[in-house]
Parts: sequence; structure tokens; C-alpha cells
Amino acid sequence: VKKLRLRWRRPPRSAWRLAAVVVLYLLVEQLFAYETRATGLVSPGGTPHYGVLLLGVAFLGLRIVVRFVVPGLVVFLAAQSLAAHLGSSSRSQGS
Amino acid sequence: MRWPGRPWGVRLVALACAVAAVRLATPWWCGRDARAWLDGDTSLSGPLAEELIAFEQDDDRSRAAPPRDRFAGEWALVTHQMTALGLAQIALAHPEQRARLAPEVTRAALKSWQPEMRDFGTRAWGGEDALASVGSAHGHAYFAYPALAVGMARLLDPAFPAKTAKEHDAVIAAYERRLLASSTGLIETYPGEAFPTDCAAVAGAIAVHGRATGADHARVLAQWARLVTERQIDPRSGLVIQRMGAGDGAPQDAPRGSGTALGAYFAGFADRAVARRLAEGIFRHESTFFGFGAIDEYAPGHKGNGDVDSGPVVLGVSVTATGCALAPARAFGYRDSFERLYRTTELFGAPVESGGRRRFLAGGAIGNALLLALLTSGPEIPP
Repeated sequence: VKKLRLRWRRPPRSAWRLAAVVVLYLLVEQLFAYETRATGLVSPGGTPHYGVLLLGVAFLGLRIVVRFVVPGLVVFLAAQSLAAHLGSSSRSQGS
Repeated sequence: MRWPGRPWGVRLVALACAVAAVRLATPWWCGRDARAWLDGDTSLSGPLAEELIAFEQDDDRSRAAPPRDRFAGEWALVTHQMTALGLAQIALAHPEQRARLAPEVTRAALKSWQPEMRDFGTRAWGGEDALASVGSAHGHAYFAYPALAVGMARLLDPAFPAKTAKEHDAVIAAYERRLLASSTGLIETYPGEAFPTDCAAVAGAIAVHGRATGADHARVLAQWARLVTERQIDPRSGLVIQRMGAGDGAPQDAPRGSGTALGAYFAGFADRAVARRLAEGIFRHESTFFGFGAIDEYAPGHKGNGDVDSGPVVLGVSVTATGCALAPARAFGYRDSFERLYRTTELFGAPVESGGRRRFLAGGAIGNALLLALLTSGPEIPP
């Protein structure tokens, strides 16, 4: 029986890109949290603060990416890698 | 068995795994607090209440400063009203917190009662103030929002100021008289315009006044409940018509989710059966996707854009209808719907907690106040 060897390999470039998106999201979240506390989405009199609203749109866009796209891509890349690994193992067993 | 060797086969399997993982993990992630909100966990409602108590304290400080850009008008009225209602509901559900929360309920309710908060209504009635015109036949139904908050404060706070209590008695007497005189169960919010949602707030304010003072309002509430069913609910969709003619009850708008959902919350203060009926209507119009839920704004066969009542309407569902439906979902045990709606609220509301305070980043003060009231709804409903 051939052992399944798990060896450390340098993460692919796509993993670094996903990590960068998550870090960017966390930074924008902190900035948005600060701005909504310090400035608010609208002034007390009801005038919108367009800069904060724009930041909010960017934050929500990144939030959707981080909640839906990032986990999907992580699982996709991991599954692809695992499937390729299992495929090469089964081919080498069969030969 | 040989694993598919072609890259497309591997990719297809990986894609299926990714979709399955997102379908399971993302709704779980967004809805991880939903059960705790349903169960009335104070580790969630407490920090949100603290955020709003701190907001009211900040607002007090800004009012002490020279007048510049003050928080006033329709949004401010709703913010203070919903803060009062949310805190009051927590106090009813957790009597051990009543002594601490009751003064905070009073503080927020009294602010919603201030003339500057209802300027928009006074202007609409050509300068006629709701409180100064309790003898008139004009409806001024928008003033039921602060009247409901003041009623809840009187219910909880034995130290509620007597002067405002007397004004409140007069407003409730006026509402009772106007509603009894109406053959549609509607009174005007603005000249020529009546909103069933505002009239549900009127009924709620009358009912809570009865609970706080012992006054008997059974006749007017029974008449209102009967007329809601007969005149205000669209029989095909189960939704209430958003705007109607006050005198003839003629529809001036479509049956809509936002008015029905908020109306169900307000109706709960007055009549459990009416609120339940409205809830049944709302949850016939829940759209679901990937474990997330939202409420359609317009009944089938009707179309329209978002407005000040609904907020943005995206893919047919509205922000207000979805948020407000949390209250009847919680109060009447639509647990699965509550979880789906909460996931959507969490995704777009973005709650964060720090320093013992919780807030929804995307909601601002009014969003926090609304969600405090809606996510704690239940204890205010009579048996």
C-alpha cells in the first residue's frame, strides 16, 4: 500500500491573491467602522456623507466577495489539487 | 477505479465541491447568530441596546450645544421611537433589567415627542401641529409613532413626566375619536392620504395606552381590527395596500411588502390576530436564494421602484420589507424564515461588536434602532 504523502509546497500564486483580498477587506472594514463612528453615513441633519457612502459600497462589495467567492475559490483550488494528486496516485498504481 | 485524468473532469469535480461548500458554509456563517436572537439571548441584544443608549447620551450632549446641524425630522423621530420600543421589549422580556432600562425608554420616547421631530408633518398640514390640534378631525397619523413610544415608556416607567402623560392622554383620545368615526379603519397621515401602516401604529398606541393607564379601548380596537381585514388587506396577495384614500378607502398604491411588514409589527401591539394575519401575508412573498431570504416589495401583478417607504428595491425584494419581516417572523415562530432573513440582514448590515457595544455598520443609528426593535419583537404582543 502506497502512503499518501503530504509535503509542504509553496502556496500557488492564486492563494496569495485570495489572502490579499481578505486582508484588503479587513482593512476596509476597519476604515468603514471608524468612519461610520466618527463621521456617520449621514449628517445629524440628514445630509448624506458621500465619501462614507462610497466606502460603504466598496465594503459591501468586498464583503460579498469574501463571503461567497473566496471560500468557493479556496475549496475549488484545494479540491482541484487533491483530485489531481489522487489522479496521479491512481495512475501510478495502475501502471 | 481510475480518476478522470482530463483537466476538465478534475475542474468539474472541484467546481461541484466549491459550490457545495459555499452553499453550506456561507449561510451558516451569516446566520450563526440567528438562533440566539430567536431565543432572546441578551449577549446579543444587550450590546446593541448599549450602543443605542450611548447614542442617546451623545445626542443629549449635542442638544446641549448651540443649535447647528441637529438630528431631527422623520428619521430622527423613527430612531428615537424604535430605540424606545426596542429597549422596552428587552425590559418586558427580562424584568430584572426593567429598573435600569425604563429611564432610557423614557429618554428616547420624550425625544421622539419633541416638536422638531414632527416638523415634516406640521408642514404637510400647512403649519397645523399634531399636539396643538387634538380637537380637529385631521388624522396626523404619523404622530402615532412617538405616541406608541411614549405609551411603552408610561407602561414601564413609574417616574414618567406627568405633563407629557397628560398630552399623551389627549392625543390618544383624539386618535380614538377619529378612528371610531372612520368607516375604513383609516385616518389621514397627510391631507387626503392614509397609510394602513401608520393606522396600525395608531391602533398600537391606543392599545398600549390602555395597558399603561387601565383605560378601556376595546371598542375602537375591535372596530379597527375588523376594518383592517375587510378594507385594507388585498385578498389575493394577503398584503396591505400601501396608501389609500382616507375617506373612501380607494387604493392609491399597490399592496406592498414594506407596509405590511412594518404594519405587522405595529399591529402586534394592538391585536395578535391581525398581526398574525399580516405575517401570513408577508411570508407568502418570501424569495429565497442559496439559504438567504428576502421579502418581495410588490404583490404579483404590480410593479414599481423603491421609495422612502421601501428603501432600495433590488430584484423585486426590498430592504424595509426584509428587515421589518424579522419582527413577525420572531414573534410568530417562523423560525426558518427568520434564519433566512437574518442571514441577509447580517450580510448587508455587517454587525460588529467592540467595547461591549454592538452595531450594524451599514445601518447607521436608524438601522441600529430599527433592528433592536425588530430583533427583540414578541414581548409587546398581548396574549
